[in-house]
Amino acid sequence: MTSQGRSSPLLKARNIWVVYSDGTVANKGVSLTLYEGEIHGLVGENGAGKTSFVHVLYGVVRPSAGEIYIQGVKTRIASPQDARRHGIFMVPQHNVLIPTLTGLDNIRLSNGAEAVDRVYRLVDELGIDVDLDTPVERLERGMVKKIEVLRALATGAKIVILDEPTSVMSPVEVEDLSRLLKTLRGAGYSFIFISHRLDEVVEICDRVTVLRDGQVAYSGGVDEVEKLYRLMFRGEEYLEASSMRRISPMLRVFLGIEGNGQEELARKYLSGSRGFTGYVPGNPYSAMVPGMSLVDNVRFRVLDQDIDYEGLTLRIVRSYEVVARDIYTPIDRLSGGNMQRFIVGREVELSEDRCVLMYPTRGLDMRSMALVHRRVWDAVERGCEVIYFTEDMEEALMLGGMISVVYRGRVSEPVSADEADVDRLKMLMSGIGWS
Amino acid sequence: MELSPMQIYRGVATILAVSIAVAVYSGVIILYGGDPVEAYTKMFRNAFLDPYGLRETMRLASALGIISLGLSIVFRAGLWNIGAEGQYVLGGLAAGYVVYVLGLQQGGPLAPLLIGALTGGLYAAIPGVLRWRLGVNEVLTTLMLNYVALYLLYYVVYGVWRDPQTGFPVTPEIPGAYRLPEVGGFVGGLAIMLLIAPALYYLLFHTRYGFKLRVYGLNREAAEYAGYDRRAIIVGGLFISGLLAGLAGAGDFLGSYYRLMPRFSSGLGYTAIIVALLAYNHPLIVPIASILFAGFLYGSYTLAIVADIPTEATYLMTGLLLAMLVSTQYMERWIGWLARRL
Amino acid sequence: MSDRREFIKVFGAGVAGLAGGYLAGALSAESKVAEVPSPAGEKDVLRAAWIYISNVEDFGWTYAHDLGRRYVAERLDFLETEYVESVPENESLPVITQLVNEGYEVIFTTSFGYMDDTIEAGKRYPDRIFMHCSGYKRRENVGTYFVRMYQPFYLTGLAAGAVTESNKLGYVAAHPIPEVIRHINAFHLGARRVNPDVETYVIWINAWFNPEAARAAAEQLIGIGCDVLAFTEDTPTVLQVAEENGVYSFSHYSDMSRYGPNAHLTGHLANWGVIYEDVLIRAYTGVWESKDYWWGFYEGAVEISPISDVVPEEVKEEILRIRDLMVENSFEPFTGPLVDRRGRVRAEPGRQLTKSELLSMKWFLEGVVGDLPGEE
Ligand SMILES: Nc1ncnc2c1ncn2[C@@H]1O[C@H](COP(=O)(O)OP(=O)(O)O)[C@@H](O)[C@H]1O
Ligand SMILES: [Mg+2]
Repeated sequence: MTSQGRSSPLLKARNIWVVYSDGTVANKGVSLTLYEGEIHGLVGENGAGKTSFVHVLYGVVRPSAGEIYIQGVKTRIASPQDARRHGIFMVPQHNVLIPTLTGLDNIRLSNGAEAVDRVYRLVDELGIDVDLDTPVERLERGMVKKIEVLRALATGAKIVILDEPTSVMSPVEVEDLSRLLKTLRGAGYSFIFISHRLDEVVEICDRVTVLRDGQVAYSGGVDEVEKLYRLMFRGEEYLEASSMRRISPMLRVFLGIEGNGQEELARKYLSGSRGFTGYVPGNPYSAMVPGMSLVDNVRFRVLDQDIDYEGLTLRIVRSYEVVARDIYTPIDRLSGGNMQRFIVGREVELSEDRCVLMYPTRGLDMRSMALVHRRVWDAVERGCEVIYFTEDMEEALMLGGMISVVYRGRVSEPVSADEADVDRLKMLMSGIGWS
Repeated sequence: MELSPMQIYRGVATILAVSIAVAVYSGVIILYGGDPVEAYTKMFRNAFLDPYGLRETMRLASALGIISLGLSIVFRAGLWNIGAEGQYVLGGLAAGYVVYVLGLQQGGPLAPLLIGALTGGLYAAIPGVLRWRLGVNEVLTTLMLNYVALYLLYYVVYGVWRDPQTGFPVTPEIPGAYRLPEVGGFVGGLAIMLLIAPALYYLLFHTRYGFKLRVYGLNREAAEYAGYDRRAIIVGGLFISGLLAGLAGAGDFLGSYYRLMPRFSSGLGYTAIIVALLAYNHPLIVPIASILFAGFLYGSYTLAIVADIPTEATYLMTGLLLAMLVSTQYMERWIGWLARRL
Repeated sequence: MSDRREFIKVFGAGVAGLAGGYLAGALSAESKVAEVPSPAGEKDVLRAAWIYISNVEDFGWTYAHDLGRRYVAERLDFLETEYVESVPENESLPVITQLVNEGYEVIFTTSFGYMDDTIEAGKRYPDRIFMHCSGYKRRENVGTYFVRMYQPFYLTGLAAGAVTESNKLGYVAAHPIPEVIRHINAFHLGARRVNPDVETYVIWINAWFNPEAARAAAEQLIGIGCDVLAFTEDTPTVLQVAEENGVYSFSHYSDMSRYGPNAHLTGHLANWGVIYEDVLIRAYTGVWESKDYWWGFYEGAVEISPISDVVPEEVKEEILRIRDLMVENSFEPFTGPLVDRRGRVRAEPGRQLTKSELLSMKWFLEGVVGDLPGEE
């Protein structure tokens, strides 16, 4: 759209290789060109090497080979401070703001008073809708991301890297962020936008680079969505997943944005079951032990039982396609998606008569999501009741089962996925149509 | 047990950290006009080759090691027991109670030793209960209880247990029947340390309780998620560490000082924290680390004699070591990076 | 009592040649010469080391000992000295061991808490000489030494009794042990000699070295009206507090007058050097034998500082007169009649307290106010 025909690129990475200490090759000669005033999508499934690549641009990871050019000049970026000096700023996947402070105080704290002036000027000039005066912990995630983008610009950044900003956002929030990025693009800022949701990438980005297995599978315009899907996923599993919708009363799906009473609901289901109840909490990090191996991460959950822990771990790793060197690898060595699949797998496989999964596919790509859905159905078929929480309506419909909407502590009548009225679900999720 | 690359890097980083501290300290020795090689040689000779020196080093090492072993257990559970100093003192006081007040003769040193250990354990369990029931930070409570123990020590040494013969603030020497026997020419504490170390290793790495402690230390939320009993971990972990600090205190009273005095502990409980960290909270490394550290502490006086360095400057060395150890985690990464390059 | 004479006898027996001129005096020939430890014997150099409880710059106890070390280091050209400072009480044995390994033949341990370690060291190293300051345990190669500090305390008491207007004297005291009790009684006795109405108020701080506690105690004493403060603590803190509050105080062990130029009345000083000199010459010549040195004015081991002009001329003269009597060994402060504050007669008129009575003193004289743990 806007990038074509510009003379020299703002940033150019050439033939980047990333090899980690354990021998994992995360990037195998990745190249990417970013023009001024461009939103560049970077897509790929979990573990494709997206984060590794932008960590190189941000000076967090040292590449084993490759060069970076900034405005045509070969540059070595040794640290995030270096990157910031060259106008590059990264907004990581997880929140880095201090939760008890307001957006403004966060900016003042990390960047000083003049940064605050700069933010005010931007907000005024561009008419940006942002709440800088509420403690961050009380804001929605979409708003927090917007503040983080502004904070990046306040440091004088010209290029902002966003690592999976939308993985925990509702559709409305995604649209809002998209608006902000487009406005800023008009003001001359450039973005690298990481995601594994192709629909939003098509909607937001000017150009896109697809990573697969650490290599560039495609780089160019965003017109052919179908082609991108095929490039991104090795097989046809997305299509398969969407076509396998089944219905069972044993699968209860609760649809709603987090914080509408899901915790209480989950607690209710966690008590009063006879056998072992599997449970994936909303924050999967509270369900794992960093520094311990995969086997011990299974053992700790069911410590006092007579179980072949090694065998079980191996089975989880295989059937959830967890990429790990072996089952004695510390769990924190896995990439985020693999870690999460492992935790979900452990809980589903250990469950006897019930399993409570809170947002188990949050942050996972389509292929991983389809995989989790298949295993959930396997569990249902062996007679295990599954309580499944999601924030994503598309997912709820795809998964099947009996869907209820959760809103402000209320739960709607369950409807079967194939009879559900999409518009009515949307209304209920936004608080309309409750009697 | 196969060593992972990470463990190897860590080992190399530790050796490097110690070497840098030694190198910097050599500079200090030169500054004071000494010869570092001569100083270190003499230090080593005095601490390990001289028979009396070796005995003294081993005595110090066993007290330090027994305290550190207990600390390595609670530290693994992510609980910061800063109160080993007080638990050590209280262990000595409780043993003193058995000797001076109860006068329990049966069993010789056994009764005061066990009661000393138990008292240390219960004393450490207080912050454990406060943590478990009320969520009070154990760093503060354990630290404050150090002062309580210290003032209790002053109270008995300056007051009720003061040696009436001399009037000096020192309690009377205990009768021979109470004294701990030597083992192979060394204080009995050394044997105790060498027995406890593998036992704690087994506890930590081969029992369910040890596993739970480690899980709790690595991720508290996960331990609660898995439904572990917090009381057993928090109160139990602190109890074990206090038990061993109390044992060391009673052991020093019954096996090497034979009396109580105002400076019954000159900071052993704090030094033990450094030793535990130096040993990565690993019960099998703690004895080695404590012997090396005791040798260093013992030999530091040689530096004062040979190189005319003020005794206070040995704190510099301790500080340096600590700073270097804290930075090992960064060094680990460089070494890993370097290893891949080569 | 007869230390000096004994020394001269021994000296004459063996060593006149070596240390010639050091002490001219009557040399009589009969003496039993110690045979036991004589490590230095024929050697040219004698190596001696000191172990100190605190820093040499504490301007009190340790500083005074180090002055003594420097005194002998300068005067005895066969001597090599070394010291290790800030050694905690239960760590003296390691230090002694290391000093022995480094070749030191005579080792002075200068804190009471080193007593048992010094004895133990004596057993371990029978061919070395150990001298322990302020203790009571000896063996054939371990001797003890101390100064009769109560003698100058008696004199400073005279000055205090003369200048006080409130008739309340304060005493910041370390530990309730016979040594300190002796100082307090001597001080009080001296004060009463010129002013029968004074009372001496005592506060224990239970530490030899604790400036904060000393300050607090001094301020408390001033608060109840004391206008002259004596003390047994290893820093000049009490003198400083006196200066700040416009009352009087003293030097203790070494000269501290610059910490309170207006408050400084006089002081009780120790001259450890004369004891060290005696021990080291005996050791060097192989005639040392284990004994207890308890030296005072007569041997030159204690002294008082110059007396402030605040003290009336006639009292000043009286102080100097009694000092000279003590130098001649013809005056003893603790001479009867002495009655303790519980009314018990401690010495009938004319009787001097014996050494063992002095060393086990656990009572206060009439007019000393304050708690005394273990009072007899
Ligand atoms: N610090 C690390 N050490 C070893 N391997 C890593 C590390 N970080 C990521 N990896 C591995 O590199 C690969 C790419 O990961 P990442 O860049 O996080 O992918 P993405 O962001 O696309 O999900 C994964 O296989 C992951 O396990
Ligand atoms: Mg990523």
